[in-house]
Amino acid sequence: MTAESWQHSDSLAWVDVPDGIALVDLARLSAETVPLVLTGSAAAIWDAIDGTRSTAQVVEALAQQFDDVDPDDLARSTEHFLHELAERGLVSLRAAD
Amino acid sequence: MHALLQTVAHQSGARLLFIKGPTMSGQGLRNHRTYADVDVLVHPDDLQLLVDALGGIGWHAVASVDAPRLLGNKSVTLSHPGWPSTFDLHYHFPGIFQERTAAFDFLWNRRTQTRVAQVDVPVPDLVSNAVIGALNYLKEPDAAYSATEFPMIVAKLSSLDQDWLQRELDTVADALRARTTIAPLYDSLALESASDLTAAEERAWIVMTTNAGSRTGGWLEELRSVPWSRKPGVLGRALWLSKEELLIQHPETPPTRGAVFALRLTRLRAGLASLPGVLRSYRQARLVRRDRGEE
Repeated sequence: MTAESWQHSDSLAWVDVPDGIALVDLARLSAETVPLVLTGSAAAIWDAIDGTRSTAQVVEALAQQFDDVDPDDLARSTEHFLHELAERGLVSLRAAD
Repeated sequence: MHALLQTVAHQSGARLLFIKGPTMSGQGLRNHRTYADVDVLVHPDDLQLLVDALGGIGWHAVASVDAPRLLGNKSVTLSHPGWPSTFDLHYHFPGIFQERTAAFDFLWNRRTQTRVAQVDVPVPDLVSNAVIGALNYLKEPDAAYSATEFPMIVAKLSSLDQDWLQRELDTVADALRARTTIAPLYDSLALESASDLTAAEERAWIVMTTNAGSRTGGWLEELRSVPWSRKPGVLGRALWLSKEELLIQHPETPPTRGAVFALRLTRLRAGLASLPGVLRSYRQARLVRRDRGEE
């Protein structure tokens, strides 16, 4: 089985802002394009995606930051959010190098 | 926002250089902080191209009043209702007296790159960006940020080889015709400089930098420069902007007759109050040149 890791989309630009992370998809610019701002745990998940981590490893990285959250809830919410990001074309699962 | 602007510029073929803000932080010329706007210097021939391309994705020019300003920022500000900051597209920069296209071409040929938000963006080389940054502060020497940020530029440049810096600074200052306007930078670095402006150019710079917050100097200079037949028209506009123009300059004012009338009185009083300061800076400009034996 090939290991897969989460990666940010190549066409994205993002910066740290006071509230979290602001990102924009440069491949889909239009008059409706506004920055998507991720805050709190969403920003933490974004930061945990480093191009090498699988879903389980992203969850593991978050568990160290959010040790007061029920591990099952954390895993469920993280997986849900990762797939939501993937549906929007912001991240993807790719075969690890 | 830098990444978005660079993407649009690249796609439209507009030449631009990112100035101020994080580009200076990346070169050690300024502290990292949150920046309100994105400033770029655009090739004068490409300005409309870029404005049109940005208009296509919902960025439009902020309304402004066409009032004369002393060497004021020649720029267009664009905003988008869904974004928190604006784009300031400068097609010239106060304190640079070289012809616009020649000045841009010089900076463009020496450009380097820095990475902002995962995108490489073109920026002026270190010394050129230091000169632009210094001019930004020197045009408003009394502004709070000038007191803290100008010394950072001096500190960064002081850390470089001084013989190399003298040559580089001379090259940039000569090409931009900015030797006189960045004289305080030369002085702070204990490097040698010389004047390179005409009497009229230097007067405009002194009047502007000593009255940065006043529009009176701009109107006075406009009055001086137009032929006698046009002076009454300029004077009329200086004294009596339209209601629409006043509300653009002071959007906080309610559009009622009473409020606009009160605003007109306040504006006239402020103009009269700043007149002595402007006239003092005219005298100062004359003295500077006399001291150098040029008058």
